[in-house]
Amino acid sequence: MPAETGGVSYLEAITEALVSEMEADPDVFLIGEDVGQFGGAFKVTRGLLDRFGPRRVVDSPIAESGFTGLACGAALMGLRPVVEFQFADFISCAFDQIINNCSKQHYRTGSPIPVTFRAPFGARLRAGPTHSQSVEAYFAHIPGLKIVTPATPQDAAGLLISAIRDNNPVLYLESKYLYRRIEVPGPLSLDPVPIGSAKVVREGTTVSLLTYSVGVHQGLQAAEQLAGEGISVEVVDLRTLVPLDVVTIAASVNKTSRAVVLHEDARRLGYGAEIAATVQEECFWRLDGPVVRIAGKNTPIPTSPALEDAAVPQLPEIVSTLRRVATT
Amino acid sequence: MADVFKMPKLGETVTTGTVTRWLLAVGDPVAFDDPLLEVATDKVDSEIPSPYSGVLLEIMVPEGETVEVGAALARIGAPEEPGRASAAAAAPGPAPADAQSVRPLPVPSAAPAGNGRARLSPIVRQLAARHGIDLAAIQGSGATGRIRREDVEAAIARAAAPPAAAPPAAAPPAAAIPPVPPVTVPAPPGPRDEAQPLSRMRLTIGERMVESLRIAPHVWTSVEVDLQAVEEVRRRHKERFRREEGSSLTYLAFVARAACDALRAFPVVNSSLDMQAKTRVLHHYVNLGIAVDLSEQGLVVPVIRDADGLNLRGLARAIRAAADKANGGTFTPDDLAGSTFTITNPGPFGGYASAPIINQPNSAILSVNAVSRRPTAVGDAVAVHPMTILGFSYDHRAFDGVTASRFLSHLRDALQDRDWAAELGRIP
Repeated sequence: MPAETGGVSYLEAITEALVSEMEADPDVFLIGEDVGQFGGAFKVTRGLLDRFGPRRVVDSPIAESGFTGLACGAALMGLRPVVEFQFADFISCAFDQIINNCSKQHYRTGSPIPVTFRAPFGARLRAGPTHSQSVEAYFAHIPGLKIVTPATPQDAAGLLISAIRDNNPVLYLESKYLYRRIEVPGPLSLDPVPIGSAKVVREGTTVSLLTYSVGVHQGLQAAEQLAGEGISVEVVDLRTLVPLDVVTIAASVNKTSRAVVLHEDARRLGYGAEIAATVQEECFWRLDGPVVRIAGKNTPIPTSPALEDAAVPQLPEIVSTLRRVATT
Repeated sequence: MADVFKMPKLGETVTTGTVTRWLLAVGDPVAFDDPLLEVATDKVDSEIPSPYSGVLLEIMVPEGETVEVGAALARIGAPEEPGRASAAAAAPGPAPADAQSVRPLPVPSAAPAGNGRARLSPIVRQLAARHGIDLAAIQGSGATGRIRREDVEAAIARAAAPPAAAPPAAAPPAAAIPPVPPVTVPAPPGPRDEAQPLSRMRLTIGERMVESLRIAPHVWTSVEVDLQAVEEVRRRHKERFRREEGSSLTYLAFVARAACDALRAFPVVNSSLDMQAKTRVLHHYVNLGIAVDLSEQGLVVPVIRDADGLNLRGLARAIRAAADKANGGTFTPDDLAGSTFTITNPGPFGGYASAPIINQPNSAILSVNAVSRRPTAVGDAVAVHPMTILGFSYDHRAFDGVTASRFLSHLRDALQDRDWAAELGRIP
């Protein structure tokens, strides 16, 4: 267990941030399927029912549209709900509440609607086509909704704290693949990480890799491998998809003059398309080659491990693409 | 209707040409055969006359750009009203000239010749324009020879002439690219120094010499030759030869004649390597390159074709003609192409021995050094004879030292023992 080694996992960082905000602000409460007695589908909220009681850790029926609508109403009345979806795949059941009620409210009435939607997303857990999806692209299209995608335990905590404190709805996409796969030495800082700020996690000079979530870790691995070949990759962790930190992206690409975008979501109209378009608008005159996308295949995520591996970006493809862009 | 003037083929082996200067401006009247522009190929600068009469309507390739043979250079035709040109170009006219009057995009070739000019990225164009970098002079390091941002930045760094203490520019961090030899940057010129821009010819010579030394393991050897017999013949024939031929009978002609025979005896010396095909091509003819100095401004190597079919007089004439052509600047690229073996002749300018660099794709090169009278053993006696050292650099991939030594011995023996008078005809 990470706790025994003194490290803090990505999952534990989320729990710590929830506890911290719930202790600091009595208006913060959790709602979702199995978040109470069961401790959450992935055990993010384990122990919180005992600690904060049933008024602040609410087990809901299996009805996403219902508890999402309820949370929106609570937020309008001044509370700060944190809604957990067991899998991001199920969030589409609450589409209408999120898109038509929640995202328009602050704009339409001037009333804050501080709700946070936590959704474990992404593939690589052999969970099949309806438990492995990436949902960022369709929500990114909706004005009025912020989207954050932490890649590290530190950002998982800091961005969740910022999301809860934000007066607008924030979609918090947590990587269920990273939950127990990465950890950082504790204790964790509980300072908020500003929404809308990307971070250069590895500096480089030859090519910029623009990515988020799992892609950050793959990108760092690829960059390390390519450094041995003399190719200097700058890895930019976007951290927030909406609003996008165009300044940091443009500074990086203007420096390296080459950009590769990496995400696990399907390629067609994936968020990479938006990033690539933004890069060419902001950096065209500094580019030394086309902006290239690495993304998942335009298929449902297969259940078969071999097929799933083929459907989402893997390290060899990332390395070879970066190498090609850097040296062509 | 306008005629489109295209880059002419300036020689069998020439595929590109650089527009160095337009001699007329857009709007100038031009008559058939009027000098229109100057074009440079690897070694030759040519003035190109206009094949059409009319008005120079459009210059389609700016000065300094290199284009493929056949690329449209200019439109020449009747004067046209403003705006008509674009209308004519846009109209789907049936006349082929109109169809061609649309300015063609540079076509990226599968293997761009050197600089990948056809595909310049925005950053490359911007950096080059801002820093006044000549992209034609840059060797691209991209996978297809394309010029990358790093290539331009390196050129800018070189042009900026960093202080002497600065470390040499770091090689671009790129994989799958052959290592770039470190560039030594001299100290910036001081008040008593003079920085001279390198001519195109100097740059070409530089590139070829470096390339030859890079690809071919050079071995140098030499042989001392007693030219007493040659000298005897020269002394007796030189007046008559000068009268008949209008030129002097040089040592070089004798050496060339003897070398042709030796090359026939040792065909591997007269060969070209193709390491990709893993072959050594033997040439059963001698196309003899003769290095000609152009008043110390550079060096060209005109080629005497089928030199092994010429006798001493024929070779002397051919050498003379080649040198005249070179010095007159009237040679064409074809005059410089296709050598199978090369002789360089620094002898008239002194120098005891020399180790020349092979003229690719030859396998060897011979240098004729100064002839001076010095003591030599003749039988058991010491005589003072005109002596010289023939220097010989060869590509050790093509053949080995035994062959080189036997070739030189054959050459020496021919020069010393041949009945040279017979070649010139007996003086009655």
